[in-house]
Formats: sequence, C-alpha cells, structure tokens
Amino acid sequence: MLSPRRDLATLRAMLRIAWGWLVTGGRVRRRYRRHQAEGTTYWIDEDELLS
Amino acid sequence: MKSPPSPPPPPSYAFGYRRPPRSGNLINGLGEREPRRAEHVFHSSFGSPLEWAAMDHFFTLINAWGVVRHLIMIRWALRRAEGTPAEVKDDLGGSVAAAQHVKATAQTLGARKVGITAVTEAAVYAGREVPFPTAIVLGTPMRREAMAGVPDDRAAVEVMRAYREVCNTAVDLARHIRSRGWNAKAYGDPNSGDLLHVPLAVQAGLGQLGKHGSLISAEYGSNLRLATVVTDLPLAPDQPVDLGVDDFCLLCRVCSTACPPGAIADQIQTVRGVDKWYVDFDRCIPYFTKTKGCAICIEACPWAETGRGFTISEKMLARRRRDGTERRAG
Repeated sequence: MLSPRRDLATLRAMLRIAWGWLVTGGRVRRRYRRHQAEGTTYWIDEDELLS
Repeated sequence: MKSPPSPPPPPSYAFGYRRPPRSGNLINGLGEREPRRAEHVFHSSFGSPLEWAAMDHFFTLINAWGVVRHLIMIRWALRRAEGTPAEVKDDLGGSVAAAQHVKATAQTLGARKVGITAVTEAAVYAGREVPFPTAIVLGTPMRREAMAGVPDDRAAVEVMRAYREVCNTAVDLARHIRSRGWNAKAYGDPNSGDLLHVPLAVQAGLGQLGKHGSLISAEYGSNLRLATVVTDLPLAPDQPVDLGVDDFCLLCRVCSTACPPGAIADQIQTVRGVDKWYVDFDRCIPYFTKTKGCAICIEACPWAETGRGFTISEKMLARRRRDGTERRAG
C-alpha cells in the first residue's frame, strides 16, 4: 500500500543516517585513525556519538 | 601464485570507554539459572536505549560506506514490512498446503533456506511484542569468495548485501501473504528488532546452534543471513533438525583457536536457564568493532566449506549410532 507520508519519513531517516556517517563519521574516523597511528586511545564519547 | 592470507589483527584496541558499560555477559544472563527473555545490548533497531549504544554507533561510523549504504536501503525496504491485508482470506488449501505454498514462494523470491515454526517467548526480546504467532524463517547465503579475506571491508559489505537480499525477500513474502488476506510482518533489520532470528531458525529446522554462537546449516555452514516473517496464516510447522553439530563442536577447536580475542568457549554454558554454546560478549564485541564485523569464526568453521556440511553430518550421526552416545548442548 502506498503511503507518501511514511515514505517521506523513511527518506528523512535514511538521510539522517547518511549525513551522520558523512559528517560525524568523518570526524570520528579521522580522530580514530590519528589515535591508531599514535598508539593512543580514542575514547568513545557517548555525548558526541549519541547526540 | 596466490599469496597466503595475512594474519588477523591482534586483539589490542586504539579505542575504549572512559566509563565502561555494564558487562554484556551479565546483560545476556551468562551463568543465570532462571529462564528469562533476552535484552538488547549492542545492536538494536529503531532507537532502543542500549547499554553499549556508543560502541554500536562507533562501529557504524567507522564502517565502509558500502556497508552503510546497504543499511540505509534496508531501512527503505522495511517501510513496507507491515500493512493491511486483502479483505478476502484465502486459506491456501489448509496448513500443510499453505506451508508448501509459502516455502515455494519464498524460494521463488530468493530465499535459499526456509522453515516454519511457532514464535516462542524465548525468541522475543524483553519488552517487545510480536504481533502474530507463526514465524517463517528465511536464509540467504553470503558469497564465499567475498568472505575469504575476513576480516576486511569486502566481507563486511558482503554481509550487509546478504542481509539486504534476505530482508527484501522477507518484505516481498510478507506482502504476498497480505495479498492472500492474512496479516504478515517482515523482520529483516540486521540490527536486532523484536525477534531473535537464530533460536527461531533452529526451531524451524534451518540448522543447529554452533559453538561460535551462529546457526550452522548443512548446505552453507554459518555463511547465512537470516530474516523472519511473522503471520497469522495457519501453517504446518517444521521440526528442528539434528545434524550432529553439538557432537562435532564438542570435539572441534577450529573457531575457538582462530578467534583472536579468545571469545569462544569450548564448553557449553548456562545462559538464562538454558545450557548452550555462548560467545563471550565482552571479548567478542570490541574485536568485532575494531575489525568492522570480524566473521573469522564463521569462515574458519569446517561446516562453511561448500558441500562439506552434509559429509560432516553423516559422519557425526554414523559415529553416534556406532558409539550409542549422544551429546546435546541443550
């Protein structure tokens, strides 16, 4: 059954995931790579990751 | 000349928690003698609060775009997981014929393994409800050549590709059942939703639980991803199968030796009142996160080799008949 409202809500959720991966993820991946290279610990920050 | 596979990364971590969450083994009920429902710990769909949520998000964010792309498309497919059934009910010739019809349809839609069972309390997460009493469990294999280099990005993408394929099959099957006038809801999110697919798959005869905590089937070993459709269409259930997996896993040490963080125990353990194989969550999940999905155990498993499962099963069952012994993991 077609439901434009549901489709739109799903599209928004999909965009949120993609945006999160791109922006927050980009930052996290850069910092994590730096910690890996330096042999230090990237502390998983709940406030940053779950905001 | 083919180069030898590189050794897996060591179980040392460049990430960690400042405030460690509660042990996943405690949440999972390791050592508990009383039965209770499972709780979400690491993966969960649609925003449940999770003890290990931050690591779950970290896992998604460090993963390859190819993985996240499949995850997003699964979300799109699942918008049609449920819906209103057609007004006129078709009984499809009774529960036995209906079960045959549903299995044939699932296979036409792409499932390689299909089984039917009742939804039991043990297969539903705490605090969750499943709306219909019968589960149709679907399995889709991963391509072994893509899994050969585990743990790597190619394998991680292949895992999600298989999840997406089986999710699409589940959504299409649910729509087909609704078109016959019955309620049906598809569960195909790789992040756990309301259901535990593995116990349902065991009950539905798709295979048995292996030492590495995954389903082992005769055809594909654990190279299989699962989805489930629940429905109120009366369907004749399947029975659990005995492939000799328990006997085999008690003797075999391949996955427990191959597991870099040593998360796989060689003994059966009591978890929420049931004696079964259990993987140490607190050792497994950091390594799983570091390697973006690991899967070393399911690829190392002797049952994973295409066509070998039937031979192993025959040998184990023949040995049991000869020795008159049966080892059960519960």
